[in-house]
Amino acid sequence: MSYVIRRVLQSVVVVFGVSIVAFFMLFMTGDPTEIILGDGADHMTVQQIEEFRVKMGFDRPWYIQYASFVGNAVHGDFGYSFTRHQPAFQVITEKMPATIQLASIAFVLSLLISIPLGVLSAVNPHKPIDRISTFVALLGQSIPSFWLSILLMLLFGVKLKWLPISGSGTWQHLVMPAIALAAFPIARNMRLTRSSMLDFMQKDFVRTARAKGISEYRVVTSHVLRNSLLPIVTAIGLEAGFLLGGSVIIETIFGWPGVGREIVQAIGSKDFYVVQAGVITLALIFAVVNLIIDLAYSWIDPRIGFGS
Amino acid sequence: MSEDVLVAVKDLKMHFPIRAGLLNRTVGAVKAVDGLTFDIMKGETLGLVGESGCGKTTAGRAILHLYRPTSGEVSFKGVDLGKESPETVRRARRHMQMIFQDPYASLNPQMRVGEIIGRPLRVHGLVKNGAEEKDCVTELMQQVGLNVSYRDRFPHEFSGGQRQRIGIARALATSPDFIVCDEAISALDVSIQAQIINLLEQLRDELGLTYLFIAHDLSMVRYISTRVGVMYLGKMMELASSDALYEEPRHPYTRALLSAIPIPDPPLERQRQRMLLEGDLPSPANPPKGCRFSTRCPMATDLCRAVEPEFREVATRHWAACHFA
Amino acid sequence: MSSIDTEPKDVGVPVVPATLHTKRRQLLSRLLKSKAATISVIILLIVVMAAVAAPWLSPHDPFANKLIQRLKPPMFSNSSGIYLLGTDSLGRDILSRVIYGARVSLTVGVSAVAISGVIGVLIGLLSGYFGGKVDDVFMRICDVQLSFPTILLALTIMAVLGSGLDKLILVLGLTGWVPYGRIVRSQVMSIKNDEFVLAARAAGERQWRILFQQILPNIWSPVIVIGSFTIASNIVSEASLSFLGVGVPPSIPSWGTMLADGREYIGVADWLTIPAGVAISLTVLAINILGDWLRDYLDPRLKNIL
Repeated sequence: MSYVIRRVLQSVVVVFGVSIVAFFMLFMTGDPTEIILGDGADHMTVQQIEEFRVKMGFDRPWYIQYASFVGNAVHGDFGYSFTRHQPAFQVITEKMPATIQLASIAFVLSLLISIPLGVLSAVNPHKPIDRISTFVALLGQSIPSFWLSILLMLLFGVKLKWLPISGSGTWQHLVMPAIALAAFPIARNMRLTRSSMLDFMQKDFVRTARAKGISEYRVVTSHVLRNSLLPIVTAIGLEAGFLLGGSVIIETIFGWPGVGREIVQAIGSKDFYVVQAGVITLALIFAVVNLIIDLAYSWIDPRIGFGS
Repeated sequence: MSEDVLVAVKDLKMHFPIRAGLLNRTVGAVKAVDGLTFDIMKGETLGLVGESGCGKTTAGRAILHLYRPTSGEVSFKGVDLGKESPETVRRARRHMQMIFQDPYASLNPQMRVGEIIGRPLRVHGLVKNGAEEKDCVTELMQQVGLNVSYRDRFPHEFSGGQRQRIGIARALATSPDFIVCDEAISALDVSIQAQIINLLEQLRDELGLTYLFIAHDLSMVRYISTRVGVMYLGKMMELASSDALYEEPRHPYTRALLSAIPIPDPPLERQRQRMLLEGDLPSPANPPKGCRFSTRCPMATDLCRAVEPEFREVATRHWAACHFA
Repeated sequence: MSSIDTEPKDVGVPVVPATLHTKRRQLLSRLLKSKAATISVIILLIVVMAAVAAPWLSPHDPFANKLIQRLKPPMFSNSSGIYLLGTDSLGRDILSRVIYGARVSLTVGVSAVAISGVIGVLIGLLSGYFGGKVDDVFMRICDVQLSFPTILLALTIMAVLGSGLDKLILVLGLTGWVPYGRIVRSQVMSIKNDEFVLAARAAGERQWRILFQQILPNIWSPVIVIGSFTIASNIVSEASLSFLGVGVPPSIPSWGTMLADGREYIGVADWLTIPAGVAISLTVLAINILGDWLRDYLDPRLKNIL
């Protein structure tokens, strides 16, 4: 039980840390007034700027500003977006479903491809199938996702005209972004599955199982795979962060109307309240997903104690 | 007599806290050393024996102030180092050195032999320059029987016995008065054990060293030690001159340990009566009430289980902690 | 005394993992035995050469805008062209920009690694050796950092600071030290109780000497391996951020800004994206292969943690 409490407390600390980072982002260059106003300040008088500063509360000490920032954020109030003309948090929540849709499809896709490929490689070590998939995985880890996206667009969008290049609405719009987003996790999980399986195949209890005359298929599925899935589950937890962070780039390239693209656009238009809201929301989701996975993990693996 | 005391240990206790729970609270303590009192005379070799887990290694380290003792004091040449600043203790280390149990773990794998041996010289400013250090290292290597041309090799290029010689050379570098040999031969093959023991004896006689010789093997300890102490669960059970302890052991625990030594003489070996200890070593976090040996002692009475016996002088310069000694 | 001869009789060759020192000697011969690693080294040598000798290798000025020559296809698809790989939307020579792009990639990759490496190793050493409060704070920072996709963190900071090569290096360096800190911390914790560390204390060595001269030399392997992988990920981060418009300014030739340009003209000028994409992928692939090789070579046990 103390493990659960400790783990939940840890998540609270994490969210607190993220809020500090997101808050002080605006103070990095000194005065947030300039950042918020951006080029607009050129057309204002000194007095107007000063009034704006007071109106926004930027004249108060930073710790009071931080306290009111946190107080408002708890109620979902991250300020008002001047470019979208609606509350910043609402801008983000409206885009959330699209991001979650893309991330979860990419997530499922990565598991469906990486684990079977990894098993196949581990069962046939150093055979052609292993060599090819290991190399493809290395390639997948090395090609930046945004170039892969462009290649996909060139091939399926421009040359073959099978899929739309950007936008959303139909399932066809999802195909390329999902593949581009899943490429790196596929590559990493495949390599992880392979090495984890190979590790367990040399363990004594597997050798014993073989010696007992259990069929190779059962040895692999019920002895090796079950055990080697544990390290993979841990990696999957961190995957959530990767998918959410990666979505920033992929969504921008494919014009997918999600939180990531919104953040990038908000950065372009200096709409920093939307950036703050987006960053904190993504981090919060990530913290919750990780918390759930960690707790589930300790449930599966008896060595990580719920007990003492 | 007291002028000859080099190291005085008084009621030394070394407890390691056991932490648990959400707030890492201290819920108990492993009483690795739980009240040791003895003196080490200048020029003598004091053997310290006991089963693994009895706290003898911890005692050796606490005596050298590698751990800060929970309570009690250790005086070196009449100075209680526990009361001195860390810097003073650090400087005092040149006079008291240590030889370690595991010749594989105790040498930095990334350092050349010459540097391992020469470092203590540099640390204490005993050499002025590289050339002087090199000369000293050469001398030390010769002293412990190492081929001088090996100075630029790495520890993994040596065998266990040679590595232990490197460890000895390192300990000798600062010309210390006192060396704690912590199971210095336990990890070695029997034939090499004898070589190292001979080397240690020879160095002691040449350099006038004082040893605290920690071991779990009683036969080797008798050979090298002037006096021998027997530890059990963090306390001294018996302390006497080697001959007295081996010929007339007063404590049942000592007798049990001695009865376990095989005798290299078949007729006698056949007559040897083993005194088998029953049960396991109790947890040092929770030692038994009364005499801590009472749970395994064949002679234990209700008195033993109720009252802890005093460590008293049962014969001239022969101490034992047993009601029936 | 008979036992003290200069040549001890006890023999036996202990089997222990070779140290960094002995390995350095055989590094090259072992490297050349692996085909993949050799090819990777050759690729990286070419990239380094391109970066160093960019002014002499480039056929054209990579900064010169010639709007009249904009979006010219590569020479081989258009016999009249003078640009081997064509020109971009401002009429700048793509080949020259790819060559100059190696400068940005390597500069960012290596300098950011140097910054994060120094910070991470220092914090990891202190955290692992002294434990206590320092360690608690460090672990919490790790939690926060792990829950914050680095690219998102770098993106927001760069958005506020504005684009620039120096800022980019600083941001990637300052946000990337956690992996080093974590690995160094765990390595220090596993060896700080080794007898050789106790031996150094017993010899009277000062704490900082023990930390930097006794412990540090024993934990270089994972640091080197992480460092090589991080160079690759920094190169990708630089390209990603430049692609999103917050990395280096568009005028500086960077593989990321070139790809951003290509994304704009996809369907019109597909030659824009291929050279920079190939350059970045090959470089990163080569570094990753070399990193893998280095890990297996220095210490195969690292496979389980890196």
